[in-house]
Amino acid sequence: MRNRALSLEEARLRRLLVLVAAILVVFVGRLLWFQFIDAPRLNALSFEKRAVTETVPALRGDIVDSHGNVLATTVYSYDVNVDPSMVSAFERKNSQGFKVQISVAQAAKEIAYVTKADLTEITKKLVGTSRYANLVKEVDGATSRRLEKLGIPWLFLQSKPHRVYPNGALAGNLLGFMGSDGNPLEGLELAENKCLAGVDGKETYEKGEDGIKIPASRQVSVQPKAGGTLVLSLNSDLQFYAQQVMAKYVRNEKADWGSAVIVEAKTGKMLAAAEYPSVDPNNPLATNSVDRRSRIFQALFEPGSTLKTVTAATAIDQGKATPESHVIATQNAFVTKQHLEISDSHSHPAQKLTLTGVLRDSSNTGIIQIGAKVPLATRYQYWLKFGLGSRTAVNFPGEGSGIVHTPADTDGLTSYTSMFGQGMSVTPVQTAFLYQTIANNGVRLSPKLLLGCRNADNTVTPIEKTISPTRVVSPATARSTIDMLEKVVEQGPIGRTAAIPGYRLAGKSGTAQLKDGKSYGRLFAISFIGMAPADDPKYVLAVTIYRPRTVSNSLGATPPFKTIMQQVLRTYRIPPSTTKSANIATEWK
Amino acid sequence: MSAAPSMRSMPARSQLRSPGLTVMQAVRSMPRAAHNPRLFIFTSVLIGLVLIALGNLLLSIATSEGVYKVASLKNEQMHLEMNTQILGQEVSSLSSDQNLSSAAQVLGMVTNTNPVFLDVTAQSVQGKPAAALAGGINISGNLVANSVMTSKTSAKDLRAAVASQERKATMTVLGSPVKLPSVVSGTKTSASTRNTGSAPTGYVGGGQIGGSQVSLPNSIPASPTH
Repeated sequence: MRNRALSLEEARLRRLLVLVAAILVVFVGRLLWFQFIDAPRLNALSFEKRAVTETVPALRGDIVDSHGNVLATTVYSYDVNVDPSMVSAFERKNSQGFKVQISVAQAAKEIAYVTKADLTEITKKLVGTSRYANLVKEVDGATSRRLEKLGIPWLFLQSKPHRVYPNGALAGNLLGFMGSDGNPLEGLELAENKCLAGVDGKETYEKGEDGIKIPASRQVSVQPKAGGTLVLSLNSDLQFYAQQVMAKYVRNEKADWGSAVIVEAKTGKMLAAAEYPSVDPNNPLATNSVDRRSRIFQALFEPGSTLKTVTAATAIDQGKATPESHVIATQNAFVTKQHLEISDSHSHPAQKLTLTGVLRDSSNTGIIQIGAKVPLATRYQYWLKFGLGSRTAVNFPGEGSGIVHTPADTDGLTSYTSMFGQGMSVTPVQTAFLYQTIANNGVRLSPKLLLGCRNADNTVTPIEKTISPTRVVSPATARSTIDMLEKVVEQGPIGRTAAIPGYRLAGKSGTAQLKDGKSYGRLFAISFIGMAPADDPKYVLAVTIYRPRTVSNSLGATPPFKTIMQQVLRTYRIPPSTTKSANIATEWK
Repeated sequence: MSAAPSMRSMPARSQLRSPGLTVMQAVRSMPRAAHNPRLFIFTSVLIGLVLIALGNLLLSIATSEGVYKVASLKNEQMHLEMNTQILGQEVSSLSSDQNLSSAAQVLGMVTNTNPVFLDVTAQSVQGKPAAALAGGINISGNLVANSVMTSKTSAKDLRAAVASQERKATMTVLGSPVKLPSVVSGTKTSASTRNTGSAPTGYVGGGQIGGSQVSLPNSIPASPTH
């Protein structure tokens, strides 16, 4: 009996052992499953919960002038945020080291004072149970430092890249500006975003409950790549001066706008492209929307008499005229079978003028007699070669190409009025390069505003399309044209007011009528375009003032021209001329 | 020589096996763990584990401290970077064309419309010298907006700095070594006094006006370099 009971007990024990072994096998199996077979999936799941992936923003590149002066750069600004659920009174040590109680109202006053924000708005945002509220956006570093010193425990500062233009509205219309979301909206910021924008990096790490990275935790980092530096051809000092001058005269003359383009004649580099009104890209909303863009590249207007220079150069280049070709310039002239009349802007008896005299007096009736010797189709080809009717290689956002009608689309009257700049449209930069062509021995260069994109390794990548120089007129024609334009400044009733004592200057005024509805109105686009020194032109300056209300002719454009050109000559140390202008007759008997 | 005594003290194997000898005494004197290999292994493993745990703990503490140190250094780096940014923006503001133009006007500087050049090669003067006059082409005030020009050169400090330089130049010409008051530098945001011993130096908007005075051989002070 006893043996039997023992064997029964042994059997039970064995069964229990088998059961335990089976359970053990299950557990071990499950363990192996977790440890080996399902481990990758579980690890990934676990990593996802612990890991934090952050974008490391790439800093946007600077925009600099030709001397490296920074016109646009990127710094960090700070959003001032708060956790309303944590807002309460707190203690702070005063200057004597004693703890003082700071109420919420007091803290709100301090925040409003430091950030110059509205106290009511701040106070409203401090109330609530939410975990996040933004009090102020984009305060600068100094303000954020003052906020930190307040020691408010429920105040948090979040940094983010912020675009700053240290010189304000200097070249603002060219630079453009950024939106509040950090995307470029206008100007070169928009057009050259490919150069300026960097590539954001990524950082993935594991962090503990206290927010600090777990040591040796897996990190997957993509290094951010900073944007390139956009190098402009501008001289920022000259740009500032030109903007000051244009602001003064546009205001005085109660004009809509004004522009001044300074070009280095032999290279095509734009040294300044000043306009007024101008936009401060730091605060574009302070400027009317129509004034935030660059009229130098975008505004279209009839050039008026500044185009007579092109007509004269064309006639000389075609061998149809010389600087001393004779015309009898009457007050009025009937030029078409339809008996349409062309008149000079000023009253005068019939004058015996040479072509030089025609330019000096800006005679419409005189220039059409010379220009008509060249077929319209040929003149049209010259316009195209001078760069009219096409955008420049700068390819500025929204740049206008201007309008020049083909001979087939030109009516009888326009075939004549186009000789003195009516019936076509140009941009200010195009007018400057008409004269750059003359100043550069008859070779038109492409405007050069963007010298390139400088990369991190200091290599410079060209941006603008390389356009071969265009021979428009012969060097002899160009020289003859300059000689004629010198007489405009020496003897012309308007041109004389642009003269700079001691220097030889060549230039031409323009007083273009502006369409007001279907007919021409009473306001004008006045301009003066010239070059200096005339014996070997180095700089070209084109000044345009649109719709001035206190002057009705180019006498409003010569003072800013003279002032800016004097500054150009001083800046580049151009000594006074030591030679005299060519001896050319302006009248005949 | 030294081997002989040990040879003598070593008991013979046959003697150890003899039941008459008190062999047990020697066994008792041996460590228990050495006697029991299992216990020895267990103890060694245990001590090893404790040592590993301790090492791990120390390493963990050291690493944790390192992480906090790194975090602290990163905070300090951010703090310094912010300082750099703040100062950089102040410098940008002070060196902006708008501020420089205003400062020049405060000093009464005007544009001369009659530039004159000295041609060293030809030893001639080009241009007609004439005094620069106020008005005319000179533009008063800033007409180019700049909303980030937060730091401006203090007109008061600027005038004080110039006056100090003038006094210093005058006194140097007269040959009277007079100790001069230090010049207060100046910006609205960061006015500070700098006094470098016996040679006071004026700073305007970060730019050194005076520095050490350079005298020409005839004791006439050279004009301060701006």
